[in-house]
Amino acid sequence: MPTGILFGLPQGQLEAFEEALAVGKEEIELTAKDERKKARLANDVKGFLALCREIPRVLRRECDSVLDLMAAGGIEDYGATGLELRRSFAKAIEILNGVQELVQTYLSTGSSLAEANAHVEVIEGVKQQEYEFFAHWPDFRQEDIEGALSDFQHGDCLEIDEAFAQAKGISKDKWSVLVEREIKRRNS
Amino acid sequence: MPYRVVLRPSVAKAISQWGLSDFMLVEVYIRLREQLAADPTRLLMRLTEPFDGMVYGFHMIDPENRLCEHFFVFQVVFSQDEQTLIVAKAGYERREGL
Repeated sequence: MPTGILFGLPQGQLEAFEEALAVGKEEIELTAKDERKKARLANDVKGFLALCREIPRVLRRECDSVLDLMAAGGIEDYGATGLELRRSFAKAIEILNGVQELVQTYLSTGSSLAEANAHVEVIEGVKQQEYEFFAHWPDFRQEDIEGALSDFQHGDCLEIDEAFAQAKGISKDKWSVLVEREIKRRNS
Repeated sequence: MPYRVVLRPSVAKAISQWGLSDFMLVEVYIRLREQLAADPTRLLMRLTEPFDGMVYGFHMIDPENRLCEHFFVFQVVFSQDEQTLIVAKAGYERREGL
């Protein structure tokens, strides 16, 4: 089971992060008319945004760790591993949305922030990253075994040639030709 | 005597959605039909959570694109006739830009 999920942040630290964001928002509202303080706040907000730009890389490393385990046959429970990774994505999106709220509060004071649009792209990128990782994730369940045995008993399973022909969207004969061609290509 | 290998229709559909090249599709086919069928007791790995059963997994770097790595895992069950392996479900991951 991979460890070190998203910065290794336990729930308490996430709450601390959220508190920091809430304080930041409050400070922005209180100092909206003080130009010197606004400049300092701009740097703080930019600091949050810079941290957020690291999040996709952190998630990528976690996904890579899971794939490395998968390659080594080291995943003992695909359900639990997937769930743990999903929690990381959920935590990341929670943080990113919190920073987005902070950015909106900052912008509502009439200030501008060149990095604001890029942050929205980071959020969308993380959502896409999660979608792509879990699109074909093995979600194995006990009922799949029972379903397989039942399908087999009822003659509903496909012979392997037929199954791959269907997967390719061609006839079984064309599949055989394709397999022959690929095998020849490998041996040439 | 190799086992006969059959797939649930949902597995064929899943494979069709992986977007594999002909090379990789044939590779998966060969691994299931020849390698797994010939020696399932060596290649199958026992899992107990969240189901009690067997999986067959392998990964490989795409020979046509060395920056792409493929990860496959299949949930497999022996039929009651003990001559057939049923592929119950399949999972797939791809890593690009090693």
